[in-house]
Amino acid sequence: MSIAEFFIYLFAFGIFLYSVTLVSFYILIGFNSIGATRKYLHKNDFTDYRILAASPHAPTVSILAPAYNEGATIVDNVRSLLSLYYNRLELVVINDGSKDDSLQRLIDAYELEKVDFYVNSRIPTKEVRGVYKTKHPAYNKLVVVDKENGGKADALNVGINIASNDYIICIDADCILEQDAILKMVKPFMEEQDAKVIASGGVIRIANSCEVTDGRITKVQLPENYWACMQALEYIRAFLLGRMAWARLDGLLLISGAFGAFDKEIAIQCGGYNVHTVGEDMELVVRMRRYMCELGVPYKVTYIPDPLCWTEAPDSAKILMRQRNRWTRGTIETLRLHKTMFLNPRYDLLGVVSYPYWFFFEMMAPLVEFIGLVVFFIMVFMGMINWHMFIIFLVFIILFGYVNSIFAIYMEVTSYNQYNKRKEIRRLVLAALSEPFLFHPFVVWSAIRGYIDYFRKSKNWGEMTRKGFSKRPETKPAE
Amino acid sequence: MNNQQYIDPEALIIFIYIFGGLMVCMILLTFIFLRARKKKWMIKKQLDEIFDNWLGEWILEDLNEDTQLSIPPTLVDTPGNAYSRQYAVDQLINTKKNLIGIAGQNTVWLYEKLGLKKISLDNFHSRQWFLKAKGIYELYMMEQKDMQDELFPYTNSSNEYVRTEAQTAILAFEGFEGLRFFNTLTHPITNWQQIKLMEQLRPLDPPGIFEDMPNWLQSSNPMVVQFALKLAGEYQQFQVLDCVYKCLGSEHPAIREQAIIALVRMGDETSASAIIERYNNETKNNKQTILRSLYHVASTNELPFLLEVYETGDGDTKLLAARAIAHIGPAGMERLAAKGQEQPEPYEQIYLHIKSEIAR
Repeated sequence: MSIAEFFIYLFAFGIFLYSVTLVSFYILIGFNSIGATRKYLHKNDFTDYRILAASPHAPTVSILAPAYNEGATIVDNVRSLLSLYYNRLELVVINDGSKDDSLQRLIDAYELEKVDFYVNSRIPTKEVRGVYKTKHPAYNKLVVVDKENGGKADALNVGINIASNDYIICIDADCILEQDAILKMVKPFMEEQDAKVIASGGVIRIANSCEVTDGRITKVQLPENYWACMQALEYIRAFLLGRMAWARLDGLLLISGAFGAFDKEIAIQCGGYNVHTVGEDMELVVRMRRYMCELGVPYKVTYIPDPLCWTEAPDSAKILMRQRNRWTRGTIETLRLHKTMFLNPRYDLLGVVSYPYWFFFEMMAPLVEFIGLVVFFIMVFMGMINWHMFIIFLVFIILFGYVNSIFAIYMEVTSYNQYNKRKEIRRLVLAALSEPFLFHPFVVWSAIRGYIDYFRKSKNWGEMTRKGFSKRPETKPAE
Repeated sequence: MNNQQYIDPEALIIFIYIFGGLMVCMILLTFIFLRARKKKWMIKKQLDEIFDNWLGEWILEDLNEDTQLSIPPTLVDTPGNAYSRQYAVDQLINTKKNLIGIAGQNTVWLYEKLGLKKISLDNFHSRQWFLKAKGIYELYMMEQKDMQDELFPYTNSSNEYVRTEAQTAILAFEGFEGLRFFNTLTHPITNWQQIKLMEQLRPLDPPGIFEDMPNWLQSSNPMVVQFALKLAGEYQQFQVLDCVYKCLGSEHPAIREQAIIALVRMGDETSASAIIERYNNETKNNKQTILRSLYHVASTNELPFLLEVYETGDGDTKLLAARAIAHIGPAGMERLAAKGQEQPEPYEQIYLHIKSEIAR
């Protein structure tokens, strides 16, 4: 065996080992998600959340909704958020230096007045230009903050500084929340026993093609657009399988920035959102967990499988690529910032399982696949491929991917069954079948672009043009 | 290059068949499940119509032992009707939740006349925790008081969900007297359950004195103490004031916090000074609770303490102290204004903040 052959053989064996470990993790995740989802559904089968809505003993909650150039939809979005079913609620809308008329629209619609407000800047942020409130009794839960543009993380930090309540729920202003979303998100914090619940995540669903009336989803439909449909499948897999399972194993590292609840005091003690990363949502969860581990205080991060938050997914390859590029950079930045946790038993399961899983199978996966492809072509060129074995391997891996996706669809149908038409399930299955040939290579390539941008030190958030639920253009803050 | 010496292709091919078979099975199962769900939905829709009409016919009637009840065939107790009968239980419970008076009582009467208790009992006797919990829920929602002795032991069940439903059931049957389960409770009682019980008790007439309250306040179960303090504060149990004071010295911060809140609600003339005494040794959260509590009870006597905290505390503390100072009256506001002039950063902004709050 020549040296070149030896290295290539070593590489091939590494890839095989990698695949086997990944497959084992997916099986573990699958089984755990069944247990976690079943328990949650049984547990809350006849829970009466209305008790919490009106109780004076319920915990106080502040919703933080950062907005940038969302003038076209901001008034409706705020109205929708104000109608959420929860008494002890405060809605903090942070206008992150929008260049459009977002602020003026809010002032006009909700009869806002600038008030004297002492901002206790426990987390350093860009300057707050003003705080607005209204005397209108119907909107007394609303606080609008106008600040200099500093990006989403900075806007959320201002929200944390301003929030007067014990728990914060960070959302994207353009998301649609279910009426009982706050009640369901708050319940896990109230169920804590030996371990303090520091954060709770909720499932995000794709709202493309859904019918929306008065800021509410009135009819759920699978997205017509291929890219959005693929993301619907991906979200089912990620949220219903991945995050539920990781939450059950107490190893959850990511709560989506579009909808997550946190213990405010812990978030502040950790320094709030990191403004130097584009993956601020994951970074905060990792930092909070790390902080609790280092303090030696028992804690928990929980997850709710109910579809509570609906968002519009990118429906063009260009926008999707930007999003995946940013997610990759966010993951690399977060894992790098907390590299001390890697295989560190001090952080328990987080250090020895969750972090390595994210490192090897979330962060490194696109790289491994890409390098694998390059090596494959080299081997073809050198005539080193055993085509028989190659085809068997390929079919094995593709089929396992299919099993995983079909299992996710099965879980969706047997639990929440949001897509309840046979036609929709057929489309989801077809989407799953097409994934290895179209969507997956695209996602891998986007991630590789993310790697390149990361090494170029790009901090671009990436413009996220969205069509809106009803003809509404919207942009996310850019650097 | 030959991997075959290390990986048996035959084994991989077997896995490929397994995965392929699994995939096909899961797709089939998914569609079968979808079909079953749709069928169930159709049945439910039909049941909805039948049940609504039937219930509408009886719900406002003057029902008594002589009433001849006509039962739709789908609700008759036969093995084939298990689904529709469980559906009837769920619907009666939902209806009862939204009704009071005669109509509410009629749902119970109909439940009994239809023999639906059998379903709830089957659930209750199940070995699966979620069915057992559901059975208990159905029994108390349908006021089956004869079950109370059988349910009572489950108030201390090791299964959290069975336990909480049993506790709710006992309170539903016995009202405040049902709180006796605290005498034997050794398991935790979460904040969620505490709220649920507090809200369950709210519409009922409380007894003047809770006889067992001293025992609960000295319970070895910290969550029982916490809940008892909530009750003591809410229902003004002055006879246990000494015990509440003692709780200020508990090793559990959550108990101390609840004791602070209870003391303030009970409004003793010495409450303010007692909680102030604790201030320096408290956790940050409890310090904030003390300041929030002082907002309600502080007088000019507490002004020196509040002013000291106002000057020495962090931003949040300053704001809470300022609120309490302002609430004392014009004297408090004057002190805040004076401090704002003397040292504008940050006191002027805090003063303006409080002023703005009061104006709103």
